[in-house]
Amino acid sequence: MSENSTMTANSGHHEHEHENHSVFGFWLYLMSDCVIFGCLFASYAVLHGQFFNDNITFKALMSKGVIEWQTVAYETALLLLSSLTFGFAMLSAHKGNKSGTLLWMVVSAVLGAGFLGLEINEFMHLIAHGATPESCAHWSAFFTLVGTHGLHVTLGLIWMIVLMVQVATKGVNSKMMPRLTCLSLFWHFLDIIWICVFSFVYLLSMV
Amino acid sequence: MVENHAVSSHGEDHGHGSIVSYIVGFILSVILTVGSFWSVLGHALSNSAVIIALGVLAVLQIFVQVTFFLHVSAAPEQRSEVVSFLFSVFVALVICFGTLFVMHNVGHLMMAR
Repeated sequence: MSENSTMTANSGHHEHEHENHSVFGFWLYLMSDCVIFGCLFASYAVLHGQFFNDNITFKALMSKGVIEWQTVAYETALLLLSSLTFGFAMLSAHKGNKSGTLLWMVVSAVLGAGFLGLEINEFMHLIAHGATPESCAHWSAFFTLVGTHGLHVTLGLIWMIVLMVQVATKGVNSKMMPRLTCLSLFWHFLDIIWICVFSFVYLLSMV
Repeated sequence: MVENHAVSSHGEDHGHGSIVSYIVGFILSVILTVGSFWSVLGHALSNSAVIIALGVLAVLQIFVQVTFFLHVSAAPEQRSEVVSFLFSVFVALVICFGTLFVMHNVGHLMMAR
Protein backbone atom coordinates (compact mmCIF):
# COMPACT_ATOMS: atom_id res chain seq x y z
CA MET A 1 0.00 0.00 0.00
CA SER A 2 2.73 2.49 0.97
CA GLU A 3 4.70 1.34 -2.05
CA ASN A 4 1.71 2.13 -4.22
CA SER A 5 1.14 5.62 -2.85
CA THR A 6 4.81 6.60 -3.36
CA MET A 7 4.54 5.22 -6.88
CA THR A 8 1.52 7.42 -7.55
CA ALA A 9 3.18 10.44 -5.97
CA ASN A 10 6.41 10.03 -7.94
CA SER A 11 4.82 9.24 -11.28
CA GLY A 12 3.23 12.69 -11.54
CA HIS A 13 1.46 14.28 -14.47
CA HIS A 14 4.25 14.01 -17.05
CA GLU A 15 4.78 10.28 -16.43
CA HIS A 16 1.05 9.68 -16.74
CA GLU A 17 0.96 11.49 -20.09
CA HIS A 18 3.89 9.43 -21.32
CA GLU A 19 2.16 6.22 -20.26
CA ASN A 20 -1.02 7.23 -22.09
CA HIS A 21 0.98 7.96 -25.26
CA SER A 22 2.73 4.59 -25.32
CA VAL A 23 -0.51 2.74 -24.57
CA PHE A 24 -2.31 4.66 -27.33
CA GLY A 25 0.56 3.86 -29.72
CA PHE A 26 0.11 0.20 -28.91
CA TRP A 27 -3.63 0.58 -29.39
CA LEU A 28 -2.95 1.85 -32.94
CA TYR A 29 -0.77 -1.23 -33.59
CA LEU A 30 -3.72 -3.40 -32.49
CA MET A 31 -5.96 -1.55 -34.92
CA SER A 32 -3.55 -2.35 -37.78
CA ASP A 33 -3.62 -5.96 -36.57
CA CYS A 34 -7.42 -5.79 -36.78
CA VAL A 35 -7.13 -4.79 -40.46
CA ILE A 36 -4.67 -7.66 -41.09
CA PHE A 37 -7.16 -10.13 -39.64
CA GLY A 38 -9.87 -8.47 -41.76
CA CYS A 39 -7.81 -9.35 -44.86
CA LEU A 40 -7.25 -12.93 -43.66
CA PHE A 41 -10.98 -13.36 -42.95
CA ALA A 42 -11.80 -11.96 -46.40
CA SER A 43 -9.46 -14.41 -48.16
CA TYR A 44 -10.80 -17.28 -46.04
CA ALA A 45 -14.38 -16.32 -46.94
CA VAL A 46 -13.53 -16.32 -50.66
CA LEU A 47 -11.54 -19.57 -50.63
CA HIS A 48 -13.92 -21.36 -48.24
CA GLY A 49 -15.26 -24.44 -49.98
CA GLN A 50 -12.85 -24.26 -52.91
CA PHE A 51 -11.80 -27.89 -52.68
CA PHE A 52 -9.64 -30.04 -54.84
CA ASN A 53 -10.45 -33.16 -52.88
CA ASP A 54 -13.94 -33.96 -51.59
CA ASN A 55 -12.63 -36.24 -48.83
CA ILE A 56 -11.02 -33.42 -46.91
CA THR A 57 -13.84 -30.89 -46.77
CA PHE A 58 -14.66 -29.37 -43.40
CA LYS A 59 -17.86 -31.41 -43.10
CA ALA A 60 -16.20 -34.66 -44.18
CA LEU A 61 -13.55 -34.17 -41.49
CA MET A 62 -16.29 -33.39 -38.97
CA SER A 63 -18.20 -36.57 -39.73
CA LYS A 64 -14.94 -38.52 -39.34
CA GLY A 65 -14.46 -36.88 -35.95
CA VAL A 66 -11.21 -35.15 -36.93
CA ILE A 67 -12.79 -31.75 -36.19
CA GLU A 68 -15.00 -31.75 -33.11
CA TRP A 69 -17.10 -28.90 -31.84
CA GLN A 70 -16.07 -29.85 -28.29
CA THR A 71 -12.45 -28.92 -29.06
CA VAL A 72 -13.54 -25.48 -30.27
CA ALA A 73 -15.69 -25.08 -27.15
CA TYR A 74 -12.77 -26.01 -24.84
CA GLU A 75 -10.44 -23.65 -26.72
CA THR A 76 -12.99 -20.84 -26.39
CA ALA A 77 -13.47 -21.54 -22.68
CA LEU A 78 -9.71 -21.51 -22.03
CA LEU A 79 -9.21 -18.23 -23.91
CA LEU A 80 -12.19 -16.53 -22.23
CA LEU A 81 -11.06 -17.64 -18.77
CA SER A 82 -7.51 -16.53 -19.53
CA SER A 83 -8.81 -13.09 -20.48
CA LEU A 84 -10.71 -12.90 -17.18
CA THR A 85 -7.71 -13.99 -15.08
CA PHE A 86 -5.45 -11.51 -16.87
CA GLY A 87 -8.01 -8.85 -15.94
CA PHE A 88 -7.56 -9.92 -12.30
CA ALA A 89 -3.77 -9.66 -12.75
CA MET A 90 -4.21 -6.08 -13.94
CA LEU A 91 -6.45 -5.25 -10.96
CA SER A 92 -3.77 -6.64 -8.60
CA ALA A 93 -1.07 -4.67 -10.45
CA HIS A 94 -3.01 -1.43 -10.10
CA LYS A 95 -3.25 -2.10 -6.35
CA GLY A 96 0.53 -2.60 -6.25
CA ASN A 97 0.03 -6.24 -5.22
CA LYS A 98 3.08 -8.00 -6.68
CA SER A 99 2.31 -11.59 -5.61
CA GLY A 100 -1.34 -11.30 -6.73
CA THR A 101 -0.22 -9.97 -10.12
CA LEU A 102 2.25 -12.84 -10.55
CA LEU A 103 -0.26 -15.46 -9.43
CA TRP A 104 -2.95 -14.31 -11.91
CA MET A 105 -0.38 -13.96 -14.69
CA VAL A 106 0.75 -17.55 -14.12
CA VAL A 107 -2.89 -18.72 -14.24
CA SER A 108 -3.48 -16.75 -17.47
CA ALA A 109 -0.33 -18.13 -19.07
CA VAL A 110 -1.27 -21.73 -18.15
CA LEU A 111 -4.77 -21.26 -19.62
CA GLY A 112 -3.28 -19.66 -22.76
CA ALA A 113 -0.81 -22.53 -23.10
CA GLY A 114 -3.74 -24.96 -22.76
CA PHE A 115 -5.47 -23.22 -25.65
CA LEU A 116 -2.31 -23.44 -27.75
CA GLY A 117 -1.86 -27.13 -26.89
CA LEU A 118 -5.42 -27.93 -28.04
CA GLU A 119 -4.92 -25.92 -31.24
CA ILE A 120 -1.60 -27.59 -32.11
CA ASN A 121 -3.15 -31.00 -31.39
CA GLU A 122 -6.04 -30.16 -33.74
CA PHE A 123 -3.65 -28.98 -36.47
CA MET A 124 -1.68 -32.24 -36.18
CA HIS A 125 -4.93 -34.22 -36.55
CA LEU A 126 -5.95 -32.21 -39.60
CA ILE A 127 -2.56 -32.67 -41.23
CA ALA A 128 -2.61 -36.40 -40.46
CA HIS A 129 -5.93 -36.66 -42.31
CA GLY A 130 -4.68 -34.88 -45.42
CA ALA A 131 -5.91 -31.37 -44.62
CA THR A 132 -2.49 -29.72 -44.97
CA PRO A 133 -1.82 -26.07 -45.88
CA GLU A 134 -0.71 -27.30 -49.32
CA SER A 135 -3.68 -29.60 -49.96
CA CYS A 136 -6.06 -26.96 -51.33
CA ALA A 137 -6.93 -23.26 -51.25
CA HIS A 138 -9.45 -23.68 -48.43
CA TRP A 139 -6.96 -25.26 -46.05
CA SER A 140 -4.25 -22.75 -47.05
CA ALA A 141 -6.59 -19.94 -46.02
CA PHE A 142 -7.66 -21.83 -42.88
CA PHE A 143 -4.12 -22.43 -41.64
CA THR A 144 -3.07 -18.87 -42.50
CA LEU A 145 -5.99 -17.35 -40.58
CA VAL A 146 -6.18 -19.67 -37.57
CA GLY A 147 -2.39 -20.11 -37.54
CA THR A 148 -1.82 -16.34 -37.47
CA HIS A 149 -4.11 -16.12 -34.44
CA GLY A 150 -2.22 -19.03 -32.84
CA LEU A 151 1.08 -17.27 -33.56
CA HIS A 152 -0.25 -14.16 -31.83
CA VAL A 153 -1.18 -16.27 -28.79
CA THR A 154 2.32 -17.78 -28.80
CA LEU A 155 3.95 -14.34 -28.92
CA GLY A 156 1.55 -13.16 -26.19
CA LEU A 157 2.66 -16.07 -24.00
CA ILE A 158 6.36 -15.29 -24.54
CA TRP A 159 5.66 -11.63 -23.74
CA MET A 160 3.73 -12.68 -20.63
CA ILE A 161 6.63 -14.85 -19.40
CA VAL A 162 9.07 -11.95 -19.94
CA LEU A 163 6.82 -9.61 -17.96
CA MET A 164 6.37 -12.22 -15.20
CA VAL A 165 10.15 -12.32 -14.79
CA GLN A 166 10.25 -8.51 -14.72
CA VAL A 167 7.42 -8.29 -12.18
CA ALA A 168 9.09 -10.96 -10.03
CA THR A 169 12.45 -9.15 -10.02
CA LYS A 170 11.43 -5.47 -10.17
CA GLY A 171 7.91 -5.49 -8.72
CA VAL A 172 4.94 -3.54 -10.11
CA ASN A 173 6.32 0.00 -10.41
CA SER A 174 5.33 2.90 -12.63
CA LYS A 175 7.59 1.61 -15.43
CA MET A 176 5.89 -1.77 -15.42
CA MET A 177 2.31 -0.47 -15.67
CA PRO A 178 2.38 0.64 -19.35
CA ARG A 179 3.98 -2.71 -20.30
CA LEU A 180 1.33 -4.68 -18.43
CA THR A 181 -1.43 -2.48 -19.86
CA CYS A 182 -0.19 -3.07 -23.43
CA LEU A 183 -0.04 -6.82 -22.87
CA SER A 184 -3.56 -6.80 -21.40
CA LEU A 185 -4.85 -4.97 -24.50
CA PHE A 186 -3.08 -7.52 -26.71
CA TRP A 187 -4.41 -10.50 -24.72
CA HIS A 188 -8.03 -9.26 -24.66
CA PHE A 189 -7.78 -8.37 -28.36
CA LEU A 190 -6.84 -11.99 -29.21
CA ASP A 191 -10.05 -13.04 -27.52
CA ILE A 192 -12.01 -10.76 -29.86
CA ILE A 193 -10.30 -12.26 -32.92
CA TRP A 194 -11.08 -15.74 -31.57
CA ILE A 195 -14.80 -14.84 -31.35
CA CYS A 196 -14.72 -14.20 -35.10
CA VAL A 197 -12.72 -17.40 -35.71
CA PHE A 198 -15.06 -19.73 -33.83
CA SER A 199 -18.18 -18.01 -35.22
CA PHE A 200 -17.21 -17.56 -38.87
CA VAL A 201 -14.67 -20.34 -39.41
CA TYR A 202 -15.83 -23.24 -37.24
CA LEU A 203 -19.52 -22.76 -36.46
CA LEU A 204 -20.47 -21.34 -39.87
CA SER A 205 -18.81 -24.35 -41.59
CA MET A 206 -20.93 -26.69 -39.48
CA VAL A 207 -24.21 -25.16 -40.67
CA MET B 1 -1.84 9.84 0.96
CA VAL B 2 -5.63 9.76 0.92
CA GLU B 3 -5.45 12.37 -1.82
CA ASN B 4 -3.05 10.26 -3.85
CA HIS B 5 -5.30 7.29 -3.52
CA ALA B 6 -8.25 9.37 -4.68
CA VAL B 7 -6.29 10.50 -7.75
CA SER B 8 -5.36 6.95 -8.65
CA SER B 9 -8.88 5.64 -8.18
CA HIS B 10 -10.17 8.45 -10.39
CA GLY B 11 -7.81 7.16 -13.06
CA GLU B 12 -9.17 3.66 -12.51
CA ASP B 13 -12.61 4.68 -13.67
CA HIS B 14 -11.59 4.93 -17.32
CA GLY B 15 -8.30 3.04 -17.34
CA HIS B 16 -9.36 -0.32 -15.97
CA GLY B 17 -12.45 -1.91 -14.55
CA SER B 18 -13.26 -3.58 -11.28
CA ILE B 19 -13.71 -7.21 -10.29
CA VAL B 20 -17.45 -6.78 -10.83
CA SER B 21 -17.06 -5.36 -14.34
CA TYR B 22 -14.68 -8.17 -15.36
CA ILE B 23 -17.01 -10.85 -14.01
CA VAL B 24 -20.08 -9.25 -15.61
CA GLY B 25 -18.20 -9.09 -18.94
CA PHE B 26 -17.11 -12.71 -18.57
CA ILE B 27 -20.64 -13.94 -17.79
CA LEU B 28 -22.10 -12.02 -20.74
CA SER B 29 -19.39 -13.51 -22.98
CA VAL B 30 -20.18 -17.02 -21.78
CA ILE B 31 -23.91 -16.52 -22.40
CA LEU B 32 -23.27 -15.18 -25.93
CA THR B 33 -20.77 -17.98 -26.70
CA VAL B 34 -23.22 -20.65 -25.54
CA GLY B 35 -25.85 -18.93 -27.71
CA SER B 36 -23.57 -19.15 -30.76
CA PHE B 37 -22.81 -22.83 -30.20
CA TRP B 38 -26.47 -23.62 -29.47
CA SER B 39 -27.66 -21.84 -32.64
CA VAL B 40 -25.60 -24.31 -34.70
CA LEU B 41 -25.72 -27.47 -32.59
CA GLY B 42 -29.29 -27.16 -31.35
CA HIS B 43 -30.66 -27.70 -34.90
CA ALA B 44 -33.67 -25.59 -33.92
CA LEU B 45 -33.09 -22.83 -36.49
CA SER B 46 -33.09 -22.76 -40.28
CA ASN B 47 -29.73 -22.31 -42.00
CA SER B 48 -30.27 -18.64 -42.84
CA ALA B 49 -31.46 -17.96 -39.28
CA VAL B 50 -28.29 -19.62 -37.93
CA ILE B 51 -26.10 -17.40 -40.13
CA ILE B 52 -27.90 -14.27 -38.93
CA ALA B 53 -27.76 -15.45 -35.30
CA LEU B 54 -24.01 -16.13 -35.51
CA GLY B 55 -23.38 -12.67 -36.97
CA VAL B 56 -25.53 -10.87 -34.39
CA LEU B 57 -24.08 -12.83 -31.44
CA ALA B 58 -20.49 -12.22 -32.65
CA VAL B 59 -21.09 -8.46 -32.98
CA LEU B 60 -22.71 -8.36 -29.52
CA GLN B 61 -19.84 -10.30 -28.00
CA ILE B 62 -17.22 -8.04 -29.61
CA PHE B 63 -19.11 -5.10 -28.13
CA VAL B 64 -19.17 -6.77 -24.68
CA GLN B 65 -15.43 -7.54 -24.78
CA VAL B 66 -14.45 -4.08 -26.00
CA THR B 67 -16.54 -2.51 -23.23
CA PHE B 68 -15.72 -4.78 -20.27
CA PHE B 69 -12.20 -6.05 -21.06
CA LEU B 70 -10.62 -3.35 -23.24
CA HIS B 71 -12.47 -0.62 -21.27
CA VAL B 72 -13.25 1.47 -24.32
CA SER B 73 -16.17 3.71 -23.47
CA ALA B 74 -17.86 6.82 -24.82
CA ALA B 75 -15.92 8.98 -22.32
CA PRO B 76 -14.51 12.14 -23.96
CA GLU B 77 -10.87 11.28 -23.06
CA GLN B 78 -11.22 8.04 -25.01
CA ARG B 79 -12.42 9.67 -28.19
CA SER B 80 -9.24 8.81 -30.13
CA GLU B 81 -9.49 5.14 -29.11
CA VAL B 82 -13.14 4.96 -30.17
CA VAL B 83 -12.54 6.79 -33.47
CA SER B 84 -9.51 4.64 -34.39
CA PHE B 85 -11.43 1.48 -33.44
CA LEU B 86 -14.48 2.39 -35.52
CA PHE B 87 -12.25 3.35 -38.44
CA SER B 88 -10.36 0.02 -38.30
CA VAL B 89 -13.60 -1.96 -38.08
CA PHE B 90 -14.90 0.03 -41.06
CA VAL B 91 -11.75 -0.73 -43.10
CA ALA B 92 -11.93 -4.44 -42.14
CA LEU B 93 -15.60 -4.59 -43.18
CA VAL B 94 -14.86 -2.84 -46.51
CA ILE B 95 -12.10 -5.39 -47.16
CA CYS B 96 -14.33 -8.37 -46.30
CA PHE B 97 -17.49 -7.33 -48.12
CA GLY B 98 -15.58 -5.71 -51.01
CA THR B 99 -13.55 -8.90 -51.56
CA LEU B 100 -16.64 -11.10 -51.39
CA PHE B 101 -18.56 -8.80 -53.76
CA VAL B 102 -15.76 -8.65 -56.32
CA MET B 103 -15.00 -12.38 -56.17
CA HIS B 104 -18.70 -13.21 -56.43
CA ASN B 105 -18.89 -11.14 -59.63
CA VAL B 106 -15.69 -12.72 -60.92
CA GLY B 107 -17.28 -16.12 -60.37
CA HIS B 108 -20.46 -15.08 -62.18
CA LEU B 109 -19.09 -13.07 -65.07
CA MET B 110 -15.80 -14.75 -65.87
CA MET B 111 -15.97 -18.35 -64.74
CA ALA B 112 -19.37 -18.99 -66.35
CA ARG B 113 -18.91 -20.81 -69.59
